[in-house]
Amino acid sequence: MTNQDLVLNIAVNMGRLCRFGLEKREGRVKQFITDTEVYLDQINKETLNSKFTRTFEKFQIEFNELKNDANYNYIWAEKALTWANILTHRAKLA
Amino acid sequence: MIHLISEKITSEDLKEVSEDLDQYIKFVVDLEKGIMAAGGKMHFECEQVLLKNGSKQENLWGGGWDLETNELDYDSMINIRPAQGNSSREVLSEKVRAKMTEIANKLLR
Repeated sequence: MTNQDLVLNIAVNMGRLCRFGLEKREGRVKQFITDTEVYLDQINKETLNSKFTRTFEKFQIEFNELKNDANYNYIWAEKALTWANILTHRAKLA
Repeated sequence: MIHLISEKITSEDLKEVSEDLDQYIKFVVDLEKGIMAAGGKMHFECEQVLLKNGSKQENLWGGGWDLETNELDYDSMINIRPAQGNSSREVLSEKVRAKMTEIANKLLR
């Protein structure tokens, strides 16, 4: 998969995390956090476009915050959705 | 920072609303009044500004504008309104999306 494909897959997962977080489905949240980490590990940082680097760095920081926050509530879900949208838009820059 | 916008946004205000999410702007439009609230990290914050300004909930729809790609989206948790026929986070009505685009183009882009 290209970096763009991987970023889009992550974006879709963030949408899923929004939904499952709101529904407080802990099992599904953990499943798609792990799934997202697999995608993140596959991203080829050497070929990542410089236009996307800042976004990617911010995402990794905020994803880790979400990952370590088990308080699945509206705000948690909205943060996940925000990244779903930003990554969907910017995948083409990856 | 959230701004209530009823005419074309100034470049200074645009900079302020784009800082919260690093070049991604969340907005909520009032379809009836043709105004919007933009900025902040949560759509419900924009929604509250408009409600306090006299907007009716049923006229409010949320979306986003990514400055890096110049793309709009019509995705927000405040859009989940089964009673109005929108059971998704995405605005399903083409008519509502068209009106949102019109307002975003007029006030933001």
